[in-house]
Amino acid sequence: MQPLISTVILFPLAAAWLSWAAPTRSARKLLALPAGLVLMGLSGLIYAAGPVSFSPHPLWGRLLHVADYGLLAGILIIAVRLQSRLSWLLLLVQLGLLIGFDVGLEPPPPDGPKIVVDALGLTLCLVVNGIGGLVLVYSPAYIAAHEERIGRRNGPEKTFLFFMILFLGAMNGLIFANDGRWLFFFWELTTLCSFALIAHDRTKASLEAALRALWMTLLGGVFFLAGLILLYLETGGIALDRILSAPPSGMYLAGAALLCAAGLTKAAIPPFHKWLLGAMVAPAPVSALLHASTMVKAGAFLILRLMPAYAGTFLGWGIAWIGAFGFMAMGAAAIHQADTKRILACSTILNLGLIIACAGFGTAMAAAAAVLLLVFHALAKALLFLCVGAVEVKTGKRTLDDLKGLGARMPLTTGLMLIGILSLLLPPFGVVTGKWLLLKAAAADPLPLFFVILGMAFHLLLYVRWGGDLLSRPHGDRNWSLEPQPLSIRLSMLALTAGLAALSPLVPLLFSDFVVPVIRSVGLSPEGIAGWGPAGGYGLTYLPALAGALGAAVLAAAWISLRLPPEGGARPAYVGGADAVVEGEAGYKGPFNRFEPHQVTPYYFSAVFRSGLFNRLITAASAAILLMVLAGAVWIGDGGLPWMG
Amino acid sequence: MDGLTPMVAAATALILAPLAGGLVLGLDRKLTARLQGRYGPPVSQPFYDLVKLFGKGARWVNRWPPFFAVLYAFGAAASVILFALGGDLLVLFFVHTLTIGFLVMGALAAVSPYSRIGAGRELIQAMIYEPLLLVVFMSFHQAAGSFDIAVVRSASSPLVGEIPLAWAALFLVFLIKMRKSPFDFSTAHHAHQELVQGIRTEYSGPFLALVELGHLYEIAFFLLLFSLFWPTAWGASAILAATFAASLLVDNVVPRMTWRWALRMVWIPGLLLVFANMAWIYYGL
Repeated sequence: MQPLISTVILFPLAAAWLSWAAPTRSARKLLALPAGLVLMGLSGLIYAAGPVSFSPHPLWGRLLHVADYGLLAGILIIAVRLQSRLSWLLLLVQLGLLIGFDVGLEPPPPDGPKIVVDALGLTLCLVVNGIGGLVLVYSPAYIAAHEERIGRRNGPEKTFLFFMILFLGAMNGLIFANDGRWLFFFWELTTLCSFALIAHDRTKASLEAALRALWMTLLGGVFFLAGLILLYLETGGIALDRILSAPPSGMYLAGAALLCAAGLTKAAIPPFHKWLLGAMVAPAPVSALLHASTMVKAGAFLILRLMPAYAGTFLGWGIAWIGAFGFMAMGAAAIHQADTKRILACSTILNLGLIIACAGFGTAMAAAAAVLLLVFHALAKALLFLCVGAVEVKTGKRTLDDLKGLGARMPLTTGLMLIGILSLLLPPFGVVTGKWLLLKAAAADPLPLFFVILGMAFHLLLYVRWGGDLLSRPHGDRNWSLEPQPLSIRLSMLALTAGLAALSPLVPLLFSDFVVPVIRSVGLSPEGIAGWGPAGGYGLTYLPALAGALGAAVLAAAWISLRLPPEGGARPAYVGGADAVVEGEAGYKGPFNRFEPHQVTPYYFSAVFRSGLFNRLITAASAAILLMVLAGAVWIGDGGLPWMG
Repeated sequence: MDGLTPMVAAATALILAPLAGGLVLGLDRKLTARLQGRYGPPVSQPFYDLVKLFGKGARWVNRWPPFFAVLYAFGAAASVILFALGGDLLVLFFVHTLTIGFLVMGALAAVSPYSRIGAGRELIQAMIYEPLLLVVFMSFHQAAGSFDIAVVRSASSPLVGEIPLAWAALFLVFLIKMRKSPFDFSTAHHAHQELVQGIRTEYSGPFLALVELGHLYEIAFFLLLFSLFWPTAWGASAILAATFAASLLVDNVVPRMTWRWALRMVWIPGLLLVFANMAWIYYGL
C-alpha cells in the first residue's frame, strides 16, 4: 500500500516534468492520456486497499521543508514581478510565520505517522483522480482547439499540462498528509498551480483574475499557518490525528477556527467568493478540475477533517451558519448571471456551502449528506464544465442567450448538459439525495435552515431556466445529427455522465460499504443510519424504485411524443393568427407587415440582484458572520451555547 | 397479502385523486359563479373538459411540450401515490419540484413568447412557494417529531393547534397552486389572460388534457397535505372546508397581482410567520 500512495503523489510530479520536456503537441497528448488513466487506476487500487497510515523516510520530511521555503520564495518572485502588492505582503507574512515556527518554536518532528489514509481521504482521492483522469483525457483536444480559437500558435501549452498534472499530485499529497507542515506544502502547491492555470491565456483579464485568486488563497495560507501555530502551542504537536484527539482547551478552538477559515478561502465561500468568479476566464478543463471538483473541495475536505475538533461547540454551529449563508447568498448572486461559466461557479460555491454546513451540523446524518454531496456534485459540476467547454470550442459562445436552441445544433452535448443540470435538481440523483439528508439533519436548527431553504428556491430557478432554454427549438422537426466532436472530448463527457447516472440510484446499496466508513472516520457513529440500506425502512430505499419509475415514464413520454404524426401536426407558436416563419425562424407579422422574430429573454432580475449594493451587502454580511464566528471561537471556546444540547 | 396492501393503496390513490381534485375544482367554479350572480357550469365540468380534450387531435410546436406533459402528469400522480404509500415528506417535496420543473421546461422549449413568459412567471411562482412549502414540512417535523407521514398522522393532538401559522402558510401555497387570484399571473382558468394561456399556451389537445390531469393530482396532493393538520375524518373535513371557503373568498375579492407583489407579500409575512411559529416551539415558550 505504501508504494501505491507514494506513487500517486510522486508519479504526477514526474509526469508533469516529462510533459514539460516533451517536444511536440502530439507527444504531450500521448503523455496526458495514459497519465490520466494511470491515476484513475491507482486511485481505484488505493481505495480497494483500504485505510493505512505510515511515515516515509525522514529524508522526505527534510526535503519537503526545504521545498516549502523554495515554493514560497518562488511565488514571492512571481508576485513581485507581477507587482501584486497584496500577494507579496501576504507571502512575507507567511514566510515570517513559517520561519518563526521552525526557528523560534522548533517543533519536534511528530512521532505519529506522516501519511494517514482514512475513509474520507480515500473517497476524495477516488473523486480527484477519477475526475482528474477524465479531464486529462479531455484536455489535449480542448487546448488545441482553444489555442486555435484565440489565435495563438505557439502558446504556453506545455505549462498547461505541466501544472494540471502537478496539481493532481499536489491534491493527492494534500489528501493524505497528516503532518501539518506537509499539508501546508501541498496546500500552497495547489495555490501555485491554480494561479498558473488561471493565467493561462496571458490576457489582461486572466492575469487580474489569477492575481486575485493568488492573494485570496495566500490569505488562506496565512490563516492556515496561524491556526497550525496556535494548535501546536495548545497541543504540542502538529500531526492532525494527534491534534484532533486532543481535548479542547484555551486557544484550541481559535486554532481550529483559523484552519477552517483557510478552508473557507480555498472553497471560495463568501466573503472569499470573488476569486472563483474571476477564475472562470480559465480554460474549461481548469474550471472543471480545479474550480469545481477538486481544489475547492480541498477546502471543504479540510473542514470535514476537522469535524472532531469542533463538533458540538459554538464553532461547529457557526460553521453551519457560514455554509448556509454562503449557499443562499451565492444562489441569489447567480440569478442575474448570463454567462454559463459564472452560473456554474456560483453554483459550485453554493454547493460547497452546503457541504460545509453539513460539517457544521456535526451529526452522522449530516456527515452522510456531506459525502454524497461531495462525490455527486463533483461529478455533475465537472460534467457541466466540460460540456460548456465543448460548446465554447465549437461555437465560441457561452452565455445563456446564445445557448438557446443548442439542442438542434449539438444534440449530444446538450443531452449530457441536461443530464448534468437535472442531476443537481431532481431525485433520484445523488446531489438531491444529499440535500434530502441535509434537510433531515438540519431540521432541528431553524436559523441556518432559513438560509438553506431560500437558497434551494434560487437554485431551482437557476437551473430550470437554463435547462428549458437549452431545449427551445423552433417549430417542427429537424433532422437530428450527431455533432462532430473529438473522440477524447466525447468519451470523457460520456464517462462522467455514465458514472453520475449509474451511481445515483445505487446509493442505498452502496451506503453501508462506502458512506458509513467515512462517517466513522470523522469520529461519528452511524447509529440510526445503518438501517437505511436496502434492508432498512423507507429511508433511502425509494431511490431505485423512483429511478425505475422515472426511467419508465421518460421512455413512455419519448415514445408518445415521437409517435406524433408530423403532417398536419406541427404549427408555429400561437401569436393570435399573425404567425409567420421566415427561413426557419419563427416570428410574427409586426407593424408594416414586417417580419419580427420571437425574442424572449429569461428573467434576470438585474434590478435587484445585480446592483453593487446587493453584492456589497453579501460580502459585508458574510464577513461579519465570519468575524463573529472567529471571535466566538476564541471567547466562548468549547462551552457551547445555552440552547445547544 | 402484505405485498398487496401498498399496491391497493397506490391504485386507490391513482384513481380517486383526480376524482377528488376534479370535484373540488368543479365546486369551486360553481360557487364562484354563484357568488358572481351566474349559474355556472355543472360541478363535473372538469371531467367533461378532460374527456373533450383527450378526444382532440394533437397540435404541437415541437415535440418537447408533449414529452414534458406526460412527465408532468407522471410526477403529479407520483406525488399522490407516494403520499398514499406513506414515507417521507421531504421525498414528496423533491418529487413535487420535479413535477414543476417538467412543466416549465416543456413550456420554455416552445419558441413562443406567451409560453416562455408564462414559464418564467411559473418559475418565479415556484421560487416563491417552495421555501414556504419546505418550512411547512419542517413545522410538521418539529411538531410531530418526524418527517414520516405515518408518524405525523398519528400525532397525539391535532397539529393545527400547535402550528396554526403553518396552516396559513400552506394556505398561501394552495392559493398559488390552485392558480387563484392574486397569484394567477402565470396561467389561469379564466379566459382573460394577457399572456393568452401563459404557460399552457403551447400545450394542446390530449397533452393539455394531461396537464389538466396533472393539475387535478396536484390539487388532491394538497388536500392530503391539509388533512395532515387534523388527521381524523371530521377534523380533516373541517380543515378542508375552511381552506376551501377561504380560498373562494380570497379569489373573488382580490384582483390579479404581479409577481413582484407576490414575492414581497408571500415571502415577507409568510416566511416570517412560519419561522415565528417554529421558533415558538423550538425555544419552548
